[in-house]
Amino acid sequence: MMSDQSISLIVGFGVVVGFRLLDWAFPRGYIWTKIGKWSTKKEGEDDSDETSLRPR
Amino acid sequence: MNQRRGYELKGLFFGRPIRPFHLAVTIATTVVSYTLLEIGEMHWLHHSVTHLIGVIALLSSTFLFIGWWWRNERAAEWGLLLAVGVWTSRTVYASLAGQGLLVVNQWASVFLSLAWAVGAGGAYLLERYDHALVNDE
Repeated sequence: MMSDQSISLIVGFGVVVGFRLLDWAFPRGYIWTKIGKWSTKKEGEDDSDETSLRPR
Repeated sequence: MNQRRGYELKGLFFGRPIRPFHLAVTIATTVVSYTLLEIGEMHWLHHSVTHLIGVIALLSSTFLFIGWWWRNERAAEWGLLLAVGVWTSRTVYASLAGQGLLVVNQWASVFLSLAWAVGAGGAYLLERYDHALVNDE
């Protein structure tokens, strides 16, 4: 049976691998822009400008 | 690249941008690496896995310092990412070990570790997101 320490290591660094996989699957952080836009999008709104959320 | 980021304070320290949250993660992760490697929290003396987590914590704070001092964004990102792993591991361990979550000291430890894991993860995402947008401009 696995020790508590081993389970901790696997879960902890499983999260790290998950973050890296997200970066790999959705490069350049656009997934977070997409999620942000999708959650606030109004009817008929254009979502083609990927960088418009950045404060100027 | 000289544009001030949203998570940086106005002004410089030794010519470097002031990032309060990065500093907080560096301090907290350095402290936890000390407790893991020296004091024997998580009983590393009897378990090499805990020793490994302590070494990763030390590596994380080193990367965070390098990232800040030499303005190396990649090192800062890796420092934050490794900090997520260390604090998540500590959260899980604190939940599993000891007398369970009914003991006040223990659940306080679980949620404090969780808070650092969430904070470091959020800072990592901010760093990645900002890096990508700055490169686009």
